[in-house]
Amino acid sequence: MKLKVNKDVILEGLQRVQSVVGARTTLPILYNVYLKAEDDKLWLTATDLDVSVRTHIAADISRAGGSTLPAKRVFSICNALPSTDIEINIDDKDVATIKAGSSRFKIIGISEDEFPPLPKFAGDKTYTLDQGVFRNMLSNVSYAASTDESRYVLNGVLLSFKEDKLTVVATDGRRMALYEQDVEFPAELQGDYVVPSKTVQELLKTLDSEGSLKVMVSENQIAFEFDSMLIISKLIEGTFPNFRQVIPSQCEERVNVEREQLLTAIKRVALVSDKTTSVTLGFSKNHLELVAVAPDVGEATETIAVKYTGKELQISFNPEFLVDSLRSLTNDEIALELTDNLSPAVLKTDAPFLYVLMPMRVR
Amino acid sequence: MSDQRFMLRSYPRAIVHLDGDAFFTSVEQSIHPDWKGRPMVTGKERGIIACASYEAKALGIKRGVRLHEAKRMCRDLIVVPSDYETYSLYSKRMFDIMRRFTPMVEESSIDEGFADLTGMRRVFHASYADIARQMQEAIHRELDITVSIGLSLTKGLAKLASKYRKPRGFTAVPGHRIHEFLRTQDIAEVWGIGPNTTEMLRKHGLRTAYDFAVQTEAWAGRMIGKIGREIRHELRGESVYPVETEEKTDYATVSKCKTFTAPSTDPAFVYAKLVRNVESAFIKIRRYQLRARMLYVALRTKDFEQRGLEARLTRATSATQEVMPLVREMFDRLYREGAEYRSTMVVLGKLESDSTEQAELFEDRVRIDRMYEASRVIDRVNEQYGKHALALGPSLLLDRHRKTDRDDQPVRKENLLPGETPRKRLAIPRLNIRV
Repeated sequence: MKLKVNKDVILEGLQRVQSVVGARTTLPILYNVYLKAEDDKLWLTATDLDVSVRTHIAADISRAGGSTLPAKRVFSICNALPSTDIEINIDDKDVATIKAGSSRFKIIGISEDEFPPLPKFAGDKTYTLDQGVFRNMLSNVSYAASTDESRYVLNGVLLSFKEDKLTVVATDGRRMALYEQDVEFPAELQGDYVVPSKTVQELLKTLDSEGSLKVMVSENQIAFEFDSMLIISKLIEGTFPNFRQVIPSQCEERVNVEREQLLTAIKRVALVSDKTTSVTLGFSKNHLELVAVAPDVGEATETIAVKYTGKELQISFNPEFLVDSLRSLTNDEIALELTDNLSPAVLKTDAPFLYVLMPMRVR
Repeated sequence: MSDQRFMLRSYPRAIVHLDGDAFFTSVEQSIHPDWKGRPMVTGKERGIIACASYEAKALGIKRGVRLHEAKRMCRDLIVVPSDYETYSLYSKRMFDIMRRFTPMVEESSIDEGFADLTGMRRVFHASYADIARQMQEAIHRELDITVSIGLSLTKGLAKLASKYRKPRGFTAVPGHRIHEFLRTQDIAEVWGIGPNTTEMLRKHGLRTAYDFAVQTEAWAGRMIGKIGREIRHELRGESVYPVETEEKTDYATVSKCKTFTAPSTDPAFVYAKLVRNVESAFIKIRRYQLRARMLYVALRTKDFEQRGLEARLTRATSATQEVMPLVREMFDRLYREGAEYRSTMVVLGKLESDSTEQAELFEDRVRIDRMYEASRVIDRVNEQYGKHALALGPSLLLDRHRKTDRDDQPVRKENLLPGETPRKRLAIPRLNIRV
């Protein structure tokens, strides 16, 4: 294959696919990006066998063909080239010559035949969503997913298509974030799918703020098609816990707090806490006091004026859990729903979002 | 050979390492005066020698030898079951005597410890060497056991010195003599240098502790890391490791391993032994207000073959009952029909403070609270009525195995005084003599 391509264009294309390229893998082919040139387009594909990403960019193709090249190296080379016009020529032995201005590189590739083929999706369940909406949903829940491999089914985000709604949920068993949106789809396409966190990160990186997104689901794979992108991922098998069951149906107290103010206050008091310490939120009349005490470090206190007329209440949380959610939200104000120091708290906004948070017990 | 001196002063610090001579048998000979001067060993209950008296050692009978082999080497060998209760009572008295000379005493194990004598010369109107000798004499006079003493500037040097002459040895290495002393010490003897490191250092041409101590700090660090630099300082008389008087309260892991008297092929009995170890380990972590996130279980056969399994818990716990279904499953996967087992082992790891606990969304809180409540009750009952007075069901089968002469009990357990029970006895050593 032989082609000419603009430096910025190929860099953007490589950037879209290279984060799935295996960091440590026993299969050398997975370090490579698959390049296929045809009809004025250069297709770039990378996979780690769990997630595959394919995109295409505009290129001036003079000879069609396909090969694979080491992704990270090709990216650094293109990034360092002095000129904006890059010429790539890959011979039948998969040796690539990359030329730009006064620079010339010869890079050894691997045959395209060795590259694992992308799974096929045909006649499967298909949903259509808005990219910006979906991206906002994911970014508001993905941080709550578990990273503990012993809870494998929680290592991803649940997409639940039910009753004309898409609900996305992530939890690590200690807190749970949920976002809901009306979506139209035929009733027979109801279903629950758990998308691995790595795929979610790819989506967050590449989804645009507008345009449509096609989601296709087969038995154990899910594909996202938008703009020039195709992301195919395996689904996490297993049953996601019944998340509706842990949403408290009622609460005793409700208080509105300015989000930014609460976030910075928690970050400050958390400076004295270590891994095991909590931050205690003490509510009294129109007054919220945040306290962090670490026996070996010291203590910190912050006070915030709030509109609160309920009972006096003290409840402790892992500060990171509060920060995660407050940071990802953009609302000016959030509402906290509380019952007592041992019951779950719920953080809400004016969006169809909620965040259930289990307190820490202090013995 | 040019000598490099490491230190000019004699004792900028004075650290004593005290090591009991064949401690278990010395104690036995102390309470059974008629056994003095005779070859004897402890460890009857395991079938393997735990400790051999110097008389037995002279015949080539050492720790770790099987009893039937030892009997072949010496017909008149006296073999007794280990009486850890008496040994620990002696140990306690030994450390008490050390504390008369200085409050800075570290109990590193049942039969050895360190004492920091720095600054005590004025109090006793004696040199450090004389104070250390007084300590050694007092233990000999009052407990009728012998100990060997090393006196030097650091713990590492003192420990080497106490091994230098034994039994009833006394070796003092002042600062200006360190280099001479280290020349006599094989590199393998140095505290903190194990067999693998020894091999590696030998390949670099190092033979003695002196050879190691003259290397640069950077070289020691490159070869063995931080520990290497610290050992080098210690050997050169610059104290790095202080004498620790505090009892250890922070644990990375807690393990319990018990060997049974006779090997067993009875799964119910082996399981009962394992459960007992699990209970003991959990009692210990609860005492230190910890909870475990990792559990390791192993079974060892008569032929010392060990098979183990490790499990990561989704929830850290301090409640024995919470892990029991898992322990059962692990046991079933490890146990092989027909194999003769001689010990079970459990390790609790990834310990963390139990003072705060993150509540979980999808947990059965009522059940967990009930288990925690049960643990509290078990600990309270056992505090009053003795450890394991209230125990899990499988322990009923602990008696279910064939009795052999290995089940012989130490004298103090077979001859209870009025008022003593199998669980509670007077905390004083009892001499086996008629008055």
